[in-house]
Amino acid sequence: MSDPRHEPFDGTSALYAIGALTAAERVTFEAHLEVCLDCVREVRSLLPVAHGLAHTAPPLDPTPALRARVLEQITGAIPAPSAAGHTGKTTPKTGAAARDTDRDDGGHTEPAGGGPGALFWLAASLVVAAAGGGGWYGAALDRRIVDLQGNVTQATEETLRLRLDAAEARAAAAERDAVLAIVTGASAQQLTLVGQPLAPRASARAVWNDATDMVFLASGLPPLPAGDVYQLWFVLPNAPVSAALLNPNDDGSATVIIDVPDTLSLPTTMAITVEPAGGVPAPTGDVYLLGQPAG
Amino acid sequence: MDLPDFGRHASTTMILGMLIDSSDARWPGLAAEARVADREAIQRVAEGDPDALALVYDQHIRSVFGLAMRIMQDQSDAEDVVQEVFSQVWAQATRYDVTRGSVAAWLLTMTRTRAIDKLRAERAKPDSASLPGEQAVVDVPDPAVGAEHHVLTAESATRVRAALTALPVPQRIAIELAYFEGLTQTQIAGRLEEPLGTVKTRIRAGLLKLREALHP
Repeated sequence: MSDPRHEPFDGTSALYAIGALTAAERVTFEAHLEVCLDCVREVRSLLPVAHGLAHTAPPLDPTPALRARVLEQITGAIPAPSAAGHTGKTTPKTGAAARDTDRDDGGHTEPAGGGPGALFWLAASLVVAAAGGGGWYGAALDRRIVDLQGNVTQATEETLRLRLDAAEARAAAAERDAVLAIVTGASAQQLTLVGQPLAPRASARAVWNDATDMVFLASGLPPLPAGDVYQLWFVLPNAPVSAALLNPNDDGSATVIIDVPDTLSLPTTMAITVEPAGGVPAPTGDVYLLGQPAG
Repeated sequence: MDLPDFGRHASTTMILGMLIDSSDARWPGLAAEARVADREAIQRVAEGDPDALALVYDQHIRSVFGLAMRIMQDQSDAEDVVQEVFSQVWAQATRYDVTRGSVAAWLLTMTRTRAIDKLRAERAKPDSASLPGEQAVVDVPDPAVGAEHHVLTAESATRVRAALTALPVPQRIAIELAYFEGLTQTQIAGRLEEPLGTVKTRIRAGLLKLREALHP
């Protein structure tokens, strides 16, 4: 009775978080995220883990020359085109000015006020262009590309966050609607389950209507031993049928929508047992909650 | 017997819990002071202070270069990545959002992005030994390279490293191929000559164990 919509995506959250999906696979999975809270939750929990992998690379010292090269190029000490005959470097501009200039015109430095006249710069630029200025212009374009790539990264990051938020909200709303439709249906019926000696404070309610969906709400469930899970059963005369696995929240509450098999006629006795993770075909553990139809 | 997975129907309480979850809160302590210094430095970079950029460089170059080398496996390529990362810091420090994570995590996210982009572009070249399906992922940003820069500072770095080393080798290899080589599940399956399902299971199992190690 597992959700057929989810099955093809079992385990895909991890691939998505670590970036191991193709673009097409990613689009398909993102559509699924819109309807699957469980996957949204798993992606959210695994993203920081995937990012943490960056820390597993051993730190390394680069050559000191790299420091000089990187800082010099970035903070505005633009090397003069070597082919133009200059060996020195221009005076470093102050940071903000350098960046603004880089962004506005691709890296050109403006002549200082009172400096050489326009004709000189025109002549100089012709020399530069003729003698390898293309390389310099290329470097300026490279910087622009880096800037734009950064924008893409940031936009991607923001998009992912919003997409997860939106998917989460839509999936939650869809679930709420489903629960409401069942609980408020004109023909809604219910069965109360009572905590047994192992869970005296626990209680639960199963609500269903003419359709095949049932909402099961439990509270006061004791914390589970590691590796165990609560399993809900329809206790039929011949044999119990598994209805759902429950992993309660920290406060001991749990809600699940159950797809009731067509062959099953309600109401029927229901029970919750504690079983090994993954559940079992037939109950083996102690009964924690029990509910029997009146009469 | 088919069993519905209860977790698929998370309650509103759980959702709220997830939304207000703050990674920063998990790593208090010694790193806090360094993070404040980092953020101040980035603020100064945003104001155009070249000395502040040098400060950020000196503080983080070893981890940035280490990651770049781990991915590129080539000094010259790794140096190019470093150059691009710090260019981006310089150009975009004004947009650094302190609420989203540490400076270290921001830098490492950028480093991985740049490095994987280069790697994928290189593989996509006609004369390179490209892998099946590689073309499909070139230049397409993915969550792992462009997502929230959660805080995983030096305090947790040791734990992540130990946890990764402790994983069963097949899980670790699959995870490393995805993260450090930027391969898709199909490419990993091809490289390891294993079924897709196996690759998926290994990556998920490995990441869940790492998550457990980080948040016991």
